[in-house]
Amino acid sequence: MSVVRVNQLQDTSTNVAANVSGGVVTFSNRIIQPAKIAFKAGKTDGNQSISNSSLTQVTFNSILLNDGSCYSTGNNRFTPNVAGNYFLYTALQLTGVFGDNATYYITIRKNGSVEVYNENKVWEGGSFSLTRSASSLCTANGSSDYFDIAVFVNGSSTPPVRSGFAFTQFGGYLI
Amino acid sequence: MSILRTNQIQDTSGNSAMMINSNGVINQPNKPMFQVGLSAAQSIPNATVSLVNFNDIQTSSGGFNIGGYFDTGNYWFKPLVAGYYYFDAQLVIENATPDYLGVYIYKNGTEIRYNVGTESNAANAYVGAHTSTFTYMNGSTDYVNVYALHNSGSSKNLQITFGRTQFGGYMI
Repeated sequence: MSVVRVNQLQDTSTNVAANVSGGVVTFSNRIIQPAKIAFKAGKTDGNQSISNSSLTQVTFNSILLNDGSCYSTGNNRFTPNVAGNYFLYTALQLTGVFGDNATYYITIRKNGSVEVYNENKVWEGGSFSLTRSASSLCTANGSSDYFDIAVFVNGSSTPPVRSGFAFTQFGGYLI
Repeated sequence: MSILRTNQIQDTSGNSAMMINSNGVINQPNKPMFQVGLSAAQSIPNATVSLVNFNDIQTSSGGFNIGGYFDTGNYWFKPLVAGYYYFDAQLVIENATPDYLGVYIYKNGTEIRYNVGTESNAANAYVGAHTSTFTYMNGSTDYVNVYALHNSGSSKNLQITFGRTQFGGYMI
């Protein structure tokens, strides 16, 4: 292990890149972190059918970026291998016929439990394309903690999750 | 070009500022950030823009307050490090029958972001609203907090459950 104690970081042209005080790094200019853990995955494999009145995992088969390779299209989970706090978000669209009084919600789950939740309800059923989004700051232990997305719909009809990167995606990064 | 190889950068007082692991990933353990919730369901009056009393860090549920800049007495985040910050607010109203639930992020008493969840008079719907924004904080006097608005016709509670009603942010 080596430790460098400084109160300022500069590039070789003496441009100030960051100041360091109180253990906090304040970046004066953009520092590119090529190994920063980040991912963005979408659904492009066709609309996903979901079970009525059952919380269903959403699958994201297509990867736009996966720096650190912590997102798996095999289990549709983000399992970061560095401990820390992560910003995670999702947006997904349900498209098709909703029943009267249908409740639908999306969640970001941590280890299978709801981390953040966003719900809405359709009073008068019909054919719609409805999008919900959610985001949260999430703590991961860097080993076993994983995150995935789940969706719930009830009512007399169960519209599928819409395929297409612009409609249904999941992403995040180490803060 | 010069390259500095190290796995940790500290300030001159020895506080860890950046850890660099064997894959080159940087972690900043003291970067100001927070995520907080409610200690009890909060009643929001009908048709009144109301401050949300985020008064519980809820560490057992995944909340945190790195840097200690979230004030659970004033329900605001007031960082003492200047810079740009990201904020994220999520509300869910309980057993309400609103046409809408609005969520606001305020900076220094002025609205800077708003979003609304709607539900067309359905009974017992738990309407959620979510919004986020970036803003500059001067590191001394600037503060942000969250307000709520609904039109249920009478006072209704915000849900206490962490993950349903929460407020978070971090320095970019």
